[in-house]
Amino acid sequence: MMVEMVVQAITRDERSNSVVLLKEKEGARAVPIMIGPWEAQAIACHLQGLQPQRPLTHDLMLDIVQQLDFKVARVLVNDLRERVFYALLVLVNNGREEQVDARPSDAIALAVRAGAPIYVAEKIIAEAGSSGLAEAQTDVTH
Amino acid sequence: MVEMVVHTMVRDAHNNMVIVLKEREGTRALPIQIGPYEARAILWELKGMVSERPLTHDLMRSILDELEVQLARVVVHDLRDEVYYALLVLVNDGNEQEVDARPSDAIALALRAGAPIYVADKVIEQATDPLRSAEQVESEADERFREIVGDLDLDDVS
Repeated sequence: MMVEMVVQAITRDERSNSVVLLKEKEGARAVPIMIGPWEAQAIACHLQGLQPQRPLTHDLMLDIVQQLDFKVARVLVNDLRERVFYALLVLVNNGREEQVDARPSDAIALAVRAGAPIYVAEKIIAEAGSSGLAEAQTDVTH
Repeated sequence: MVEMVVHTMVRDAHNNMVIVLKEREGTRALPIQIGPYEARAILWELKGMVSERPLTHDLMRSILDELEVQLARVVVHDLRDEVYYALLVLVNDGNEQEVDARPSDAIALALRAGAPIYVADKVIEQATDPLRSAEQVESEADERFREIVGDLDLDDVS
């Protein structure tokens, strides 16, 4: 089962890692996801309503999708394996639906620009959800 | 339009990353200042490094693949007020579509898609002395900061 969540905050943990905190749209549970500083900036900039002079990487990504007549229908954070989150972009055009594997940070950066909902698998909230940031799992291992 | 290739990446005297394009058939060079994240994306691709999870430009490439669209070429077509302007030329069902982009993103994607990079003559002329060669651009960069792709450590690009 997928639960709709929204970006509640972009913050830093005690080790200065950037964290995006997703919170249930209808509920109190939250899932912290550790992400890279660039992706954090990409999400935060957009949420702050900052308009860059030239399209940033995620702006370009959305432009590509839209130029090709597709919409970002939704983003799914659908798996968590060995402390790494996995997400899917769901792109639609008329009846056609395409799913693209992505890191949650990129998926969320695109979702906020497209105004698309973010869904997180119930099993992930159960496993990774917390009321604080103490145990943020990660977005990518580099 | 002149086809150019990624010749090297250097750090300038202000610690900014600069990508140097060079004519495929010729010696003119074009240095373009880019951000650290885009530099990292380009460097990974040049070094053949593969991330466990798709980086942002890998995702962009995957989107094109899933939607069955090709990146035909990338064009750096304008230079205004010291800002370069580029285009992605996508082929969708036989039709060409252009998408406005920064050169750094365009180049990062072109490298992943194996697409050629073209630069308008007027941009090369405007940006540099047309008689400068690629060798000159590299040797003029501050020696202390000069690093070429082979030596550049990923940890330096952040």
